[in-house]
Amino acid sequence: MRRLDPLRLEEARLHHRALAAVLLLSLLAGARPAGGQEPAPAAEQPPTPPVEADPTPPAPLEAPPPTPDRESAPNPELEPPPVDGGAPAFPVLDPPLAGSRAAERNQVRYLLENIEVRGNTRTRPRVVLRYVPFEAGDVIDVDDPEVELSRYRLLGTGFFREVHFSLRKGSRRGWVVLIIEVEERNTIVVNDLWMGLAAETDARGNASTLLPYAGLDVAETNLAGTGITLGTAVGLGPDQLGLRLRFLDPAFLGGRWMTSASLVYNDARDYFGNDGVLYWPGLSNDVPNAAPVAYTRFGGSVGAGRDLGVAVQLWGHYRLESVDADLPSTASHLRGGRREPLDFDIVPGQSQLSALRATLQLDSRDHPTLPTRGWFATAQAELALVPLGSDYGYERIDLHVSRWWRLPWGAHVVRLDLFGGAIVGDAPFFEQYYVGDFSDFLPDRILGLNFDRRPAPNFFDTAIGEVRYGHYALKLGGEYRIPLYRGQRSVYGIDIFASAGIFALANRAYLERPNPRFTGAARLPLDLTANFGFRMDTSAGGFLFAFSNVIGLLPLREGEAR
Amino acid sequence: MSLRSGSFPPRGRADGARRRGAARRAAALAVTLSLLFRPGAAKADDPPEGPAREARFEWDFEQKKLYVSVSFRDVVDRTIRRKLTRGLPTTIVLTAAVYRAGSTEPLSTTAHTCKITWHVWDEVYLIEVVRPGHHSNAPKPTTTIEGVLRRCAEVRDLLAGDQTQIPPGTALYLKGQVQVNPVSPQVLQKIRRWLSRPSSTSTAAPGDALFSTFTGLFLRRIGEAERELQVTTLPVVPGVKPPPEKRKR
Repeated sequence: MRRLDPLRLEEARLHHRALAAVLLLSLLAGARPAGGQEPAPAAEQPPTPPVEADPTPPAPLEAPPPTPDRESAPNPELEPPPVDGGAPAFPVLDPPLAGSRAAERNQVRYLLENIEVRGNTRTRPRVVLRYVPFEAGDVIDVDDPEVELSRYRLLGTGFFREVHFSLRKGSRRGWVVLIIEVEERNTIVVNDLWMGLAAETDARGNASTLLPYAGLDVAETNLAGTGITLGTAVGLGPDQLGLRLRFLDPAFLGGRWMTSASLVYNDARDYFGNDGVLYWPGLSNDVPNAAPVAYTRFGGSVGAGRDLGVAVQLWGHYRLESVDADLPSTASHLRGGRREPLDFDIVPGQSQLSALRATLQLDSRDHPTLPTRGWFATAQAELALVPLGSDYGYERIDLHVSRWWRLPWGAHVVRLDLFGGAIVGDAPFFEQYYVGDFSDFLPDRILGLNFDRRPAPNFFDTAIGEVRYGHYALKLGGEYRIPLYRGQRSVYGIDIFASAGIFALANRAYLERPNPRFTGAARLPLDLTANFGFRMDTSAGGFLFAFSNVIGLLPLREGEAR
Repeated sequence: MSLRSGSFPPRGRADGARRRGAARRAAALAVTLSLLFRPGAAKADDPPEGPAREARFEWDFEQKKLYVSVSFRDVVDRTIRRKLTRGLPTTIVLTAAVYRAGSTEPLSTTAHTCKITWHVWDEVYLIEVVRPGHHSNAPKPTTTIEGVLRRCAEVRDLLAGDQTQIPPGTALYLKGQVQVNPVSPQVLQKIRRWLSRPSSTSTAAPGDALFSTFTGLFLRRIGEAERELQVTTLPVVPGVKPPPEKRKR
């Protein structure tokens, strides 16, 4: 047992507060004991006789009339849930809601003498108390929804397997001690596990050699009982390695500011060029028809953020990275029958990346994994600072908006998505928009590593076939979701979904020197993306089983060059 | 020093085999998932239903109302029993519908809520019952757990319908659920809104896999209620409530 505040509180101060609270509540209630005497201190109230045959109810500490807040607050007890979880087919007989005012008059209140946290072996008491909106000296109403909400907040931290609140007698009648009993859980969690197949591309743009890749992201979410998250992630593929270490303190120095930091290390490769690629000098383990770039990134970021409202959050980050790139000194490829130099968008040898980023986020979803309504929107601006030593001077602005609607039939859900982004200046290629981040038929980047070497499927035979990295991106998509299962134990929900969208990804150099092969609308680098599969919300996290990546490995048009 | 030009390897049998293998793997995965998520499996997490229990239906022909009495004491298990003395309210809610025997179309619905608060200083359970036709203005005290069970884990003469809804002489059964500390939609919504502010959870931000992990942990605990029990009674033809003078005897 850990006692947060020693029982020897400032007796005089507490007693004064108690008397003041009792007096105030008495005045508010206008209640007087039988006989019209002055309100006796709570300690002097006679106990209720221990009989069961309808004795006079024991007088709670005080019973003031409901405050406006209480009147407007929902009373979960008086709202019987519908049978079978759905809306009742017809009204419940004589709804008990009619008695809500009467019920609210019977409040049981005590003076909170102390708060004790028990069962915590790793988590510090102050971390627990961060989520409890009460303190010694407060009047606690046992019906206050904040009591139960605090319990849920503690469960929501992920630090505890069980949380129980209870009250026990304090040192004087009418005073109580709030006991918070917690059962800690293992806070080392697996956040992400990636396994998949990427592919090289042949001359026709189809997948050739399959390349396995994998990754793992784990975190200790309650470091030394402080509530701080410390996580690490690793990504592995052929000749590539990515590492990340990250830190998050949701209440810096116990205040309202959040802080975060991360360290990244990438030993990576990427491949450039579309057709007839020539380069010099080459690297070992080169692949055909692609100019290789081997590079390492090492650096980190620090950030601070805070809540601007219930659903709005603002973050600011500063990032500093050292980049070491080994690339061909000369390289070219064929575009539209013309030989053009290849631009790798990275400084050869050592370089620095120094950038500031601001992120504004709105999240009003009703559920983070399987939302049925609400908004999720982020606006992000990044500015690479040449004056602060960055070798890459650029500005990047991203806007991402998603909206969910619940349809009137079968609890089906529709989502619409809009993403738009633009990069101005000389951003390194790993900071540019990557086609795999927009097309579901290609693997996403993992920890900044790109394992796949294919272009987009190019359903419309447009200039998108020659774009892997771009400076301008736009995507409009939608998703239709059908709930299959809802549970309360290990699997909370499974939905089947189908999504589709259209995206455009443009590279500035290609816009300035368009490929003569594409004319008219085909010059617009557009493509289609689609996916289907299952979304699952489980005790181990949210999972996505999707099939478009497998489909992406199949040839779309046999024998046709793209 | 070498100057290389790209070579286009011909697609051979190996590539074709790989593609066929991928298609086969996708088909196998789809079949496995469809087996895993078939409707039968979806019932795994439903509250336990248990055997049909005895109930007493009685018509009061003077008031043309039907009353039901049924016990569901098994909803108060050891954990709930322990919670009853924690000094904070515990609520037991019965929501049920009356059905004609052999039918799944409800004829009427009823509800019974019971809030139990252990008064830590007076050492009594304060019980507030709300049911159709009965609104308690003051909590009733009881000092024993038996008193709690009698008032909150069974219903006696609970109004279940009237003659405009239920034809007399029909065999009936009751089906519903008992929930301990049900989470109201409003509270649930408030919690989920709070969840969308991950800074308060010390965990992660939306878009981060951590976020859904902890949401899952969170929702596992809140669910719809701390304990749920499905209640189904045996079909029975309602009896007739004795007249008041006979009841007195």
